[in-house]
Amino acid sequence: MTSHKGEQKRYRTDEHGWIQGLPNRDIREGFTAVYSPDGLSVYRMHYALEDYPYFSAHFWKAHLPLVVIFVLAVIGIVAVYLIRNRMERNNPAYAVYSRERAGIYPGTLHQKTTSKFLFVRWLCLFTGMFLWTYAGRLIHQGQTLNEISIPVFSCPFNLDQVVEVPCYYLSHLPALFGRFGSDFPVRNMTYGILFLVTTLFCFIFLGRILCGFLCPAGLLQDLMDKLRQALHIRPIVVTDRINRFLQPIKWVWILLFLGFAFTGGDFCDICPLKGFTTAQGGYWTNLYLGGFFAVVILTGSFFIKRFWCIICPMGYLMGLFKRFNLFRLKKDCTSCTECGACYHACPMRIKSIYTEREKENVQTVDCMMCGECIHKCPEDNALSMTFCGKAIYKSSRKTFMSKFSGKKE
Amino acid sequence: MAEPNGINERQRELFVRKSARVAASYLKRAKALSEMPDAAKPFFDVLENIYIKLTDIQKPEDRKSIGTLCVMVPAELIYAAGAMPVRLCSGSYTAYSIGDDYIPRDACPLVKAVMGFGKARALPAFDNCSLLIAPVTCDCKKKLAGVIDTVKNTVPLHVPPLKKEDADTEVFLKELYRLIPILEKETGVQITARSLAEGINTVGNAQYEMSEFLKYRRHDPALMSGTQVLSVMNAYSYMPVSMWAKQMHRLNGEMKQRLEQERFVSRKNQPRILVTGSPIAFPNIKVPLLIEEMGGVFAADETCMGERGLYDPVSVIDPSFDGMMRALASRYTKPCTCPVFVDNSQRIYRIKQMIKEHKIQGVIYHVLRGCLVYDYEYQLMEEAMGKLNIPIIRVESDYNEEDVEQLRIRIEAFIELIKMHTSA
Repeated sequence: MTSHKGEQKRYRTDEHGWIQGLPNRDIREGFTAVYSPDGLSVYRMHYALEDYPYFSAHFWKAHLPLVVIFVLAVIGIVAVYLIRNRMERNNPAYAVYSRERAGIYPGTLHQKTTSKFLFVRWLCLFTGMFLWTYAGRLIHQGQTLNEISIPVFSCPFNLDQVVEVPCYYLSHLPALFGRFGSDFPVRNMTYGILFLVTTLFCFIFLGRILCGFLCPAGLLQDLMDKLRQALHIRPIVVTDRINRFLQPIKWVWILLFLGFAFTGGDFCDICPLKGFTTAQGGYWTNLYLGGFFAVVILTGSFFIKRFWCIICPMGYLMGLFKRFNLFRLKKDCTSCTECGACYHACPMRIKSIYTEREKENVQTVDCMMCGECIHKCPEDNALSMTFCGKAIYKSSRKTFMSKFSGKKE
Repeated sequence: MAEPNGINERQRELFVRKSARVAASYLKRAKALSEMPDAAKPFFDVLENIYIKLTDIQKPEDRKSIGTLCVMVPAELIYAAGAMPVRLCSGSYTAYSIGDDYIPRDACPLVKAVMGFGKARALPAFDNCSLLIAPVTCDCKKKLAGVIDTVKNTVPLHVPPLKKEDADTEVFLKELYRLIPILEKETGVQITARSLAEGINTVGNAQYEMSEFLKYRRHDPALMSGTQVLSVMNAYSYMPVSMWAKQMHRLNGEMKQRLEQERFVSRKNQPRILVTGSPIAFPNIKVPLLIEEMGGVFAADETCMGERGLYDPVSVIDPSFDGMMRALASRYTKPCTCPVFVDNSQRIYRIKQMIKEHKIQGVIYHVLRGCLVYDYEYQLMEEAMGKLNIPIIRVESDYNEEDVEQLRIRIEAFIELIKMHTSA
């Protein structure tokens, strides 16, 4: 086999006729295979993947589904906005909101307290977005470390991300069993082991902090939230009632995520996020029902911060190992005044964080360590985030009250 | 004999004279306790103006004053409407004796005092309020809201007795929304997102100064007499919040100076006492006065006329108008440790925290006669304090000077007990 660089390599096929150990880069940039099954006849084959450079016509064509999704999402947002206004006008129960004074946002009057922690989080989110879209191609023309898998949303249909994602194998458990069942010892050993080890490490020791810090879908939703704030539109507040309605949806997603492949379905066909990073990487994919859900998710996350995270199946599975996490959310119950600021700030609507009065560990399955609760907590040390038992971010009354000190004006 | 239209002229004169005499004597005693910081003088002047000179509140001319009763009325909203809230919970003994004729015997004296002022029409700070916002909290306040409507235009504000569920906070939110047009009609100023944010920031500034002040208050030995601190907090009721914050800033400066010069008003071994329970409103400051006159240090208070009213800041999550209203609704119910809420276990946690922060050695549980809700919680408090090995006594008092000697003996004995307790 001759690679695009002219290197000559020899590969063997296994009993199924699969070629083992061919580097990603060679597949992408093309190679010439010389194949002689019986020693007499020689087959020669040129293989080259059509490579689309950035900003080419194909690259933009791949963005088309994304553009359609965004256009539909804008329509959805306008529709929700109008419906809400209409409901409030006609229903006396909503009459309290109908006097829309929210036209002016006194942005200058809300002196925001800066938080180093939240700055780092935004930085990480943008880095994550970059790593899971183009970075692979820029560094190495394809997946660079494809043995390592980090469980955040980054679609495997995009071949240009830096590392792999276990999302595909988790939603296609038969494929995972097949891979590690009969084929595992024979096939690429290091791949299998590294894949397992890194996935389990992330699941067990890091957990949902990846949702808060690295997930590109999280960034997308955070940006939608910022957009809403910039447009001066009031959010939909997730009360207990709405949350009780959202929880069953989460369970349905988890069921579909883990079980759909067994019934002959493909979760990727209904995955609402498939279109995003793939399109940005320049890959044209079929979205099927996923496109519809993508519109719902975008509309939802405009009004409800981190709407998808509330019902994300993979995030929930990651949260299950919370007791082994290196990052933890802790509460000092004696200094809590139960003011509920943390609960209102929490995008995941975790109520126990403010009602808890006994335990130190307040981390739940839903907690994704975004640090919003700590940022909004007005009590000293009441909430803190720890790494290996050492506090890295603590709530502080001084920082909280500093915005009222009047010195800035 | 109660007269339907209040009291006659002669009675009013008598009332004014008597009321001024009581207030003056308490002010004098509070000032004489220990060296008063110069910066605390403006607060005492305010109390003197209101209760002795009987002048109106010093405020900009165009500002209307709106009376409030409990700590659940959002001051931010009233400032946003261009008015000024005046907290009318009072400790006046003379007003109590007038109100006694209109309110049932077993009702609490604070309610009687408020009713007394309503009938007497002798306190300009009360009479100039164009509206009274009365939260429906304990039974006494609930009925007061209905009865006082005859002398003052009253808006009852429903406070849900439960607060853990979101639906309860929504109920209070709707109440606050209902309050907006009422306030706007009263003042003629529209409440906008901007004015509400300004309101939150002005009150927030006072809370900032207060939280700075608390750092000095926690110092052991004490930097300022506790009774004087309570008077400062009481003066908040009758001052525009920006003015109060400005004076508080000065006071903080002086506290800092005292700390640097190590000018303490107590000795190291004096027992530090926390007072909790029914509100201690000026001029009914006999319990704190007795504590300090008997050689204790009134180190902290967990009462609504003291620290509690200003302690919790508004935490705005979403800066829209609705977001600010939600922040107000949750700030005025969720962290509130008033016993009118069905489940109020958080008050015990709050007191435990204060015991730690203020290095408290004993707790005096103050119950006004007829104040059932606080009396209910004494049992739980006693158990909790027993576990912490902190001595606690229940002190019941009324708005008159007849029980002073009895209180003196009990408080003196309690202070001796703490001394024995700590030395053992």
